[in-house]
Amino acid sequence: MAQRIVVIGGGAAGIGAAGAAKAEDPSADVRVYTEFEDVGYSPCGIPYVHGKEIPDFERLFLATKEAYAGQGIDIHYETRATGFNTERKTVSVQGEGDVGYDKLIIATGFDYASPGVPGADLDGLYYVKNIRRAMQWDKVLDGVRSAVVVEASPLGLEMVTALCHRGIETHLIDPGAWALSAATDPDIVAPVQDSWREKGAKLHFNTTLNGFVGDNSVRAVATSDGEIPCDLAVVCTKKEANTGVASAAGVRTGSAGGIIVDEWMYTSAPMVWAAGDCIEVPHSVTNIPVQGLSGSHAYAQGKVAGTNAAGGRRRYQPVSVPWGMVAGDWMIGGVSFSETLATALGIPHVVGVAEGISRARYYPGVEKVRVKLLAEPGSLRLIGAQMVGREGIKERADFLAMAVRTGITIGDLATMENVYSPPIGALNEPIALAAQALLAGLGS
Amino acid sequence: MVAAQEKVAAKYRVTPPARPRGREWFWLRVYVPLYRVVPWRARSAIMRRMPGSHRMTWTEAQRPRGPAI
Repeated sequence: MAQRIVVIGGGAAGIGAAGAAKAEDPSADVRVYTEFEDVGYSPCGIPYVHGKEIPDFERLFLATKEAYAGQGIDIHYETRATGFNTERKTVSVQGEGDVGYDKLIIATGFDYASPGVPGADLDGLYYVKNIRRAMQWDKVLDGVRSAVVVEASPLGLEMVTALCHRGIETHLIDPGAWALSAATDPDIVAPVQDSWREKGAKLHFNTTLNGFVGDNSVRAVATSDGEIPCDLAVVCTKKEANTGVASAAGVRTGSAGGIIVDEWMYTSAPMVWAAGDCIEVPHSVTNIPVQGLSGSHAYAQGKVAGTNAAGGRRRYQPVSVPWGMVAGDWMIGGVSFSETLATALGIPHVVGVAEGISRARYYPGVEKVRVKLLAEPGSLRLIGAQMVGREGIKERADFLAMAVRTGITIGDLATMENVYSPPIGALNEPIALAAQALLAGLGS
Repeated sequence: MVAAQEKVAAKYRVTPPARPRGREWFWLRVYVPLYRVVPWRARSAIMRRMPGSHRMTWTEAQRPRGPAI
């Protein structure tokens, strides 16, 4: 008899898991439960539709509902799984009762941290997550004159940029002293902040949220620096692992707040795997667990969970967390630790910074690229990087993530070979320049 | 984190985090200096003893050495 694999959640991890399970065991009865109307779209693309860089929401979908059905994946839309029992191997499903499973994959994603202030239940507060709601909000944005973005998180940065592109008077409030202050350094985000100001955005750093003001709908955001009138507030608070259903069933969670898994994405419960924003995985530099990574992490983890649940053998590795984004007129990115984060954790480190160029100095469109490298003192193994420029940031972040994972040293990077071709690469690679600056600073 | 931001802000001569108020003062001016005295090895050892995915099985990838061919 075919094994039944039930997946709770239809985001990147859930759909990745379902597809991988079906690929591993085509005879398996793969069933996905999602509380939403759709699965398998890119929520990360939503800010760019709001900003009009992407013309419509339809492009964010990976496949049609018919395509999933054609693959033999049985998706139950707008159907909430409210719990599961690992002894009886059943999932409690609204409208369907108890549904049996042989293998279970939890991919319940994240929730935004509650702002925890008065007025959080008012209309006019936008949490960017669900594509159908985003379609409705996109129409609302046509009539919005002034908006407040709450917190300079990665999504907050994208939404400030999008709203500015949209011609909306945009305020950003954040308790930190600069944007993304928990993850990046001020010299890296300074050009981004300058470009926002040039676009008319009003930045309120060192400013805490006190509440949302209004009768039924928000008309102002109350802050430590006074009220900011607005038609809309975009709440971009921290992503927290959605572990409610799993925890209630007795699945263990860890110190980062996510479901504990091993390299097979196997949880503490028998025949239960988990993947995506609801889990935590170890960081490759510190071996300390981290949670709330990117869609590409969630999808890859889903593939591992799905393959293994279906009977295959696929491992996941500790993460180095490359990241990057367009914010204002700039690209910023990095891998693992910034100076700020390393200092906060008390991780010993040495730093090298250099400014290079993205193309040959004489080639049209050449831009500056600032690279900062962090290394472990003594061994000089790379433990982090931060970058800002206008092109080539993502590729450098990916490369440096592999360098962190494989234990590459600053000495290796200082003598790295690089592509030299006037339209795409300069004589001196900015990464090599930063590594050479670090070595020069050490006097070696 | 705020203490780290103060340090990095001073290095790059940018606006530092807001001055600590109330209970923040204790954490910033008493706890953080004490925390910084503890060596990283000791701190990371404590963090690694906390429950989490890092205490499960994660096999280190075997990397080949020498020329590929």
